[in-house]
Amino acid sequence: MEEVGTVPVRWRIVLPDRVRIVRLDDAVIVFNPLSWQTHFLNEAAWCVFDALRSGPMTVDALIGECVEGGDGMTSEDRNEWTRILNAHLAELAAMGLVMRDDAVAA
Amino acid sequence: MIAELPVAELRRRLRNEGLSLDCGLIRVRVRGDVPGFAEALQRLYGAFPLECANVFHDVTVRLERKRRWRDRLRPYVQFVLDGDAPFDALPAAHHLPMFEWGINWCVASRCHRYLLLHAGTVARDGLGVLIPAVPGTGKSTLTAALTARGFRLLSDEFGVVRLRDHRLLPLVRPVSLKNESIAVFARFAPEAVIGPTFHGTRKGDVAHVAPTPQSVAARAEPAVPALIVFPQFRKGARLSVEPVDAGLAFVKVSGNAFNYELLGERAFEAVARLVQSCRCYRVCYGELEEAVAAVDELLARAVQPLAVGQ
Repeated sequence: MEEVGTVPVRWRIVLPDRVRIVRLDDAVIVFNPLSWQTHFLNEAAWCVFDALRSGPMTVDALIGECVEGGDGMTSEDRNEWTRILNAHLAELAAMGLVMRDDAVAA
Repeated sequence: MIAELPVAELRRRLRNEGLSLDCGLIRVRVRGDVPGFAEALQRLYGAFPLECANVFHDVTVRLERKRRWRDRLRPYVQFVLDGDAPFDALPAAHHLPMFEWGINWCVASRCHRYLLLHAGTVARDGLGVLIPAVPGTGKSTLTAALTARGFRLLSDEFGVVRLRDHRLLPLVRPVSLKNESIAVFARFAPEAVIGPTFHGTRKGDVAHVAPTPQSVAARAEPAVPALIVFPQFRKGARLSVEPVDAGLAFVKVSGNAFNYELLGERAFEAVARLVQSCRCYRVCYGELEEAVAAVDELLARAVQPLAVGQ
């Protein structure tokens, strides 16, 4: 797991109180109040984003929230899910919707 | 009504204080002395009331005659908006298309208190139908056809969404038809008032359909959005009607707006409310009569209008 010093990196929503979300049938559409861009989230990206709405989380915690049986998985599966979730977090970060929590202090 | 004004008096007004056109969303003052313009204006805006010229106008335009040496003194018409000329001049014979295109530009570039969709808009019994589309899909022809069959015209070009309550506002002006659709519509609605055909404009042949008196009379009455129809005209096609899911409808409607990015969060909310409160369908048609019947039936089924103030 990625760490800053000895502390695991946590991820958070950039402006949790101001981001606008609308669910339309199967689609989740998010308005970013900073960029004024509108984004469509697929099911996986929405699962990650939705989990972060309760507060900052590490990737390990996100696996527990988003992946069924996440608590009892093998280390190999955990590594694979870590890779997948990091990819989704990178995409959400590129949209300006989430950021690493340490970036706040920086 | 403007139709009752002697044409000589109309020309005099256009040369002097101007003619006031209350289109609902905006009031336009127009001046001009281009030959043929007064007659065309009277035919297409005949059902509009004669307004006092000494009131506030959102837009003041003038159609000026121009002659340019490089064009061997062929007459041209210049659209002048509040003293500025934002476009190149067009041949003088294209006076009315230039006036209509110029007013479209004024609305699209100024009316940002509203979400502006590129859409035809009609209503029946207070329920609005939005017909958003890219050019060439039959939006204007379907809008004109619905109007000819008893729907109230709100606009041929703009779906104007009021941001505070997401109602559709009328911007009543002539419907612009192009090329083959002119003859198609004339056969479909021989009783409709159609203006002169302007040949060889930058959009091909163009003619305009006058708004019905019912539409003009109700130009201050908003409509509750109830139905969104994405039209697709294909020559000879059989009618097909397919529901469009709300997510895709959001993409199509937001992508169709003139000022979505300018309005930001308010536009996001307005589009979301629109697609949540309307039934959305794709209507592919080859025959106008079938398309009109389909929209008629779809609107009858759309029973979840947007509640005021929600």
